Amino acid sequence: MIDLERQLTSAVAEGSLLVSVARFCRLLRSWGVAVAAGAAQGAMEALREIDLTRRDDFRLALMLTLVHQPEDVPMFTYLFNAFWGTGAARTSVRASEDGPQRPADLPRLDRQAEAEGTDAGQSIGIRRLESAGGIPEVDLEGLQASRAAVTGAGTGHTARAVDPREHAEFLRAAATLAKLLATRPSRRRVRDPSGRIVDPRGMLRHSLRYGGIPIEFRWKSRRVARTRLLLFCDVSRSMDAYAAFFLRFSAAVLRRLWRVEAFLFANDIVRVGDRWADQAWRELTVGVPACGGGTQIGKCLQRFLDAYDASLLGSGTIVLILSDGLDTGDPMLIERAMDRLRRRAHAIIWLNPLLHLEGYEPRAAGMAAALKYVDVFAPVHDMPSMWELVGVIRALATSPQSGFRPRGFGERGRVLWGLETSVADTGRGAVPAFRVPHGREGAA
Amino acid sequence: MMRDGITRIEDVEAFLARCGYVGDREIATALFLAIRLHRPLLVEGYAGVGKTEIAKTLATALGTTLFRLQCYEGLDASSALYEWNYAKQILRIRMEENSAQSTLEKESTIFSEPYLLARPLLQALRHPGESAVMLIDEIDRADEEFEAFLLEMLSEYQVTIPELGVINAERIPYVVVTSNRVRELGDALKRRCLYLWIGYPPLEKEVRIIQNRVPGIEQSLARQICLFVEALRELDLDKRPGVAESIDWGLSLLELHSDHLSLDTTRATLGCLVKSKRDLERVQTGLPDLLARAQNA
Repeated sequence: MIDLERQLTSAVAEGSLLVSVARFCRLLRSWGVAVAAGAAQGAMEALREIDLTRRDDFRLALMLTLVHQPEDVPMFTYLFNAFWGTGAARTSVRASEDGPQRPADLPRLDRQAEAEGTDAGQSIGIRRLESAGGIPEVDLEGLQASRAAVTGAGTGHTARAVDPREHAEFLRAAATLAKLLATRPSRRRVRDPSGRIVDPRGMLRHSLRYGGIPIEFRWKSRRVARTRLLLFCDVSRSMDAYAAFFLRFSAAVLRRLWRVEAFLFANDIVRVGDRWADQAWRELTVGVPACGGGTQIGKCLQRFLDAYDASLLGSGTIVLILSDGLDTGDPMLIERAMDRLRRRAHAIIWLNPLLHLEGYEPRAAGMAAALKYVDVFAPVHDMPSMWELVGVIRALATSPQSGFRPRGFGERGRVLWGLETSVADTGRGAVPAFRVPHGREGAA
Repeated sequence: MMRDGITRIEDVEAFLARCGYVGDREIATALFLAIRLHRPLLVEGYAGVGKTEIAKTLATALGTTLFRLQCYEGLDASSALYEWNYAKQILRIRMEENSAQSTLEKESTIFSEPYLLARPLLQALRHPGESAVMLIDEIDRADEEFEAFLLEMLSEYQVTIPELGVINAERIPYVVVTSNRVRELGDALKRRCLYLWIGYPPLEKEVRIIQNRVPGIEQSLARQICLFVEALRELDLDKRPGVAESIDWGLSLLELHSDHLSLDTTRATLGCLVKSKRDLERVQTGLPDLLARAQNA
């Protein structure tokens, strides 16, 4: 208290409370708190209104103007106490303005890394700064090498020839799927002569031409919004049997969509560049190298979020995860990352090849944690299941509920299929319609 | 009370208390700054912790009108801001069918004030007298386009209607925006606003809220209710009960003349707190334990 006062009076004496606040903002940012540019100015306005000698009000005024999400509050409080607080704590943080250390009482973002003894001394802020520049990017030429890099090992080949007829059908199914995922009906309306919604405003305008008699109808329809697809493909050892199938799946979808980004992950994550040529993919899927290393879905997703959150996620983004959900990391990490994904993305589809196995239940801690954030949970491992997925996605994409789900915490619109906990109790009664019988829909 | 009457945070605390809103220093500071700086206040928190109530209290305290806009996906300017009254316009045109007026004259008649339907945001902007309180509820349900539109309005406090011209706010309204965090809001909007996060209240505060909102309830019962609800929030439920649910439950128990929590009444009234079948099953199995915890604490 006394210390704060002294600090304030001296700051004011220098005519530079603003300078202190600006320095505090910079400190917050360096520790990973999302402080907007220009926030210091807003904070100053707030400080002018309050009684500066009341430490608590001072803290609250800064918090209300500088912090924009509840996750940042503990870090803010810690740094506030350190920066504006008593001597000892302050020196430690002052020193760390150049090279931050992690406060001991804060939860670790990256427990796994700590356990492995890597990155152990790094603060959240540093981690974010580093990853903002990124996840390494690979293109096809480097793909084999990067699979090795991602998984830690890369020897052995499970060669399997692809039947050309099956491959053609596969491409057809993937193309259908890609087309369904490429757009979503927006809630907004546009003029459309063949639309089915009456446009009174347009009619009135038009009627002036006939002296105010509305002779001709004017129509609107739902605008079609384009989506962005994010593919996350698990290339860990446990996925070996399905990796070829999934990589082919990714390649086929990639060929059909413009706005698509792909990531490969196992115990780390890499972004795949956009030069995936068809020919090279076929070669790749003929011989998939066996990969080693435990999967760390949570860590990988978190790394993705740190680097690409703002640029790739949004209400038009559909996230497609291809993974068996067998995870060696901390389920809490998965939960946190999935929660964030769920709130930022339009829909999350999780394709899990294990789902077709008799008696499989998503009990693994990681999978169970992720499941409640997933909109569509489905098996894809062979052609019939692929067509079944196409059917489900079509039913969802063309349902009057507009795409995958009405926004909200509700369970409506979720499809967890192949499981007891399907959406039988949503009360909408529409679930049976999603159950498309095994068939070759659309296949000539 | 006018804005000038509020010069200290204590003034806000006083009017919160007068309106029966049990707040803490943080909420009072947030409201104080929102009033003094005339900046929009963004309130986030779980469902049922009293986000909407803040705006209502603010309006009551300032003695002004509250304009509420409930957001939903697809909300656009015509339902948020203004719309022309088409039916009335068409009638007017028919009435003047044989008049000698030119099309231009007709147009200026039907695109005038009497034919305008003001929606909540325009109403709040044009509110005469003391600044109105504009509540934009659950903005996370609206889409990003609407957020952008709102941002524009919040920076200028003026609206352009092509047929009428620019409409300026008579007095800049106090704006309260609430969000359930179903969707992350854009940075630009957050930057414009003061940010207030409301979590579940601590036990003592919740007891006071219940005593405030359920007149005639015994303190011991209010305490048991809060303890029980607190225990429920620790369970892994799909929908955790908020303060609104605690109040509902208190009212129900009072109506049933219960002065303590018994197993039977709790079971019968569980629907006030737990709102899904799966949650209900989960709570039912551990009910005796939960009750014992609430009674013995």
